[in-house]
Amino acid sequence: MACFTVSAVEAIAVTVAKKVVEKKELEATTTNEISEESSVHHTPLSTKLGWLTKMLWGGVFLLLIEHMWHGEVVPYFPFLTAMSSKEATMEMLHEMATVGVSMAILVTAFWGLIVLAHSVVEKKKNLEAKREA
Amino acid sequence: MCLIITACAAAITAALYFTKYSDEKYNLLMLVLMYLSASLMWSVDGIFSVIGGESFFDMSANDALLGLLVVVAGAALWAVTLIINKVKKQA
Repeated sequence: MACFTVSAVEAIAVTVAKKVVEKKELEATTTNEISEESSVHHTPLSTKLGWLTKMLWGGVFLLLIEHMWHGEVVPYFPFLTAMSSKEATMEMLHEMATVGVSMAILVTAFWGLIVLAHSVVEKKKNLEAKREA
Repeated sequence: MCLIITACAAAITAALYFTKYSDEKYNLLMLVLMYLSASLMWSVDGIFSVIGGESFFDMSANDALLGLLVVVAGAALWAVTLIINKVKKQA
């Protein structure tokens, strides 16, 4: 019905957060607040948040197509066919609260796993680089 | 079928990304993450379908067609972002 809208709201919030973090990182590098060692590589938080925005916006885009295919999203107001009656709207809100929230949580949790795995690989590479140096 | 096709697309693009096309200029990670995320979302939908007494997979031809459309739409979006990035770099 409209389960993907929960992920869309999260995507907007993460996109804003990414922009803020990016700005702070840029300020930190221009004022030399970060001491960079040539052998140590560290993926910035904005890049990691970029992965999450890609996951969320990408998923929302593909689910939007699926909903359009099933006639649940239409190109005219109110855009969601579930908003045509009170009963259908209540059902839609229930679906958003259950399926939609679960989708957003699972995608975010999976992103967390990706970030964790990336950090482990990065740490290993940095240790090897330090040993060689 | 839509979930299966999208999951396969995610696996294929991930294999391409990790073996050959990890260069930023291809931006293939975007496509991998997009298909992966949609697969996860449809898995949740499938779990709730099972809870509601329906089957996890929809094996109809209509859903298979939707799966193909989704993969093509994802690839089209990826191609558009590639073109935009290229134009931005040239400007």
